[in-house]
Amino acid sequence: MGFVILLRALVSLLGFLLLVILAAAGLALAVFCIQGGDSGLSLPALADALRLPDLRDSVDGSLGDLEDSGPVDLLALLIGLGLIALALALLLGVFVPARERLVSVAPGDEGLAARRRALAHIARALAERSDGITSAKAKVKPARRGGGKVKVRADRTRQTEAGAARERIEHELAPLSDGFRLKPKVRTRLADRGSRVQ
Amino acid sequence: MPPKPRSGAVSPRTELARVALEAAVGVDGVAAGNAGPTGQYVTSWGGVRLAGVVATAQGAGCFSVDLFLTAELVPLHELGERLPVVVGEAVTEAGLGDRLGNVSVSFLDVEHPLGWAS
Repeated sequence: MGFVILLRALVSLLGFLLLVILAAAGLALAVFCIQGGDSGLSLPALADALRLPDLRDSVDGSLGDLEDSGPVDLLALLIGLGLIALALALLLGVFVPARERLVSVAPGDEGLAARRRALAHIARALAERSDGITSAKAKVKPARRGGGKVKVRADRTRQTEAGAARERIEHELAPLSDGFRLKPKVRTRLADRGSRVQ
Repeated sequence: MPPKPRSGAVSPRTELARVALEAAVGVDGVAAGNAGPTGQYVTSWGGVRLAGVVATAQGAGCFSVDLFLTAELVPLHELGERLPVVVGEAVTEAGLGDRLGNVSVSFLDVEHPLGWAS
């Protein structure tokens, strides 16, 4: 989430800078359209001032070097890949929403909602209260129409059967899953030798 | 004892936000107001930053109150249903009952007495 917020800030900053550059370029063009000919406030004079012919020659030379047969220009390749990565990151910043979707109780109901992380913390604490469970991890995925899923992955002791452990966890989760309309999905596995019941 | 504003006048909107947040934070099971991951859920009350509450005009002189809270390890659903009632009572007691619109509650985090292991 923090990364997306950073990307959105970068997109806003770059967008602002591009607008400033566009405004300055438009102003310069307008001013240099006042006179005709090759001097004074004319477009050829602007091109000379910006050294556009030199730039054209320089770009022409660089592109010619790239097209030549021979070993791959590693620097140009890296710069190209970097620009592609930057463009993809900026697209992410534009399209991925910065605001995290909350789990709401009812479809479209903004009255009561909770962040996924908060619900996952509680689900984990509830699962770890179950007999025979040594540790648990929980994830919550909101559904578009309210509620969602709570996935719990728990470690159990050898003496605890998988089915019984799952039932106990689902029973412990009931106050949370019923309240927020979360469908529980519980998986258990045998704990490592070093694990102890908590 | 309510805090004193540092500067400027306090509007009914921000006063409503303060009363609602104070009432919510006073409820058992609520640890604190939560400003959100980027600090967007705040209201400035006379220069004092109230984290975890946003009051928005809702028409006809009313304001909706959105609360963003960190809860303790308690049943969230029951707590979430109790909070609007408590807030409504506190706002009425403060003489702002006719200004209160919708009240929403969002739990952004949960506090564990021993901290959460990663």
